[in-house]
Amino acid sequence: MRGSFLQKSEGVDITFLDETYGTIVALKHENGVNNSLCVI
Amino acid sequence: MPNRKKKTTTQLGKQPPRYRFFLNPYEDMRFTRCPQCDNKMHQRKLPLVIHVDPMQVLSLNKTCRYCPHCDLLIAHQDDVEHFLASFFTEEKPEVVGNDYLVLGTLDRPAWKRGTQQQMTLQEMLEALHDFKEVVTFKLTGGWVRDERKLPAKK
Repeated sequence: MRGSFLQKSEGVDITFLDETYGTIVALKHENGVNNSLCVI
Repeated sequence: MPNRKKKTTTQLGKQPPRYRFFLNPYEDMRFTRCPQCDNKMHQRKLPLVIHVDPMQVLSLNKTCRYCPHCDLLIAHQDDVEHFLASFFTEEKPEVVGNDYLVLGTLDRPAWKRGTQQQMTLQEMLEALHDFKEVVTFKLTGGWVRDERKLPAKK
């Protein structure tokens, strides 16, 4: 199952986000650069 | 004699499992006290790893409630879903409303590394701590008899 999960998830988008005092800042890598996606 | 099958769970993360996890579905219950031992809950900010169907993985550094005595970590479902809806409405509207699963936690340095440099899925799984156990708490309501106050039977 784990193997199939990994295989199936080849093109997975991974996003790292931070919640700061109720504000959520999203960071994403694009071309090796961290971009702030949005502030919620 | 019934044939008892051993419960098998697939461990996804390569790190040792941590925390007993409860995704709190009750909007009117904030669990300031532990539902298990009734001690005051602490707060712990840590990166939760959330898989969203079909191909999204989020690592959200989020403040959760934590009881050190019971090793119980509680995240409020409405908070998590509000975040997911807000985030994906902006980024990928087609994903909004899809199933999601909180897989486990990352160590802070691994999360920090992920915000600074590219991290593959394999690297994330290497750093992932599954939950020891996923638990649920249900409300039991209604009037109950206080056995202590009953007169002793003769």
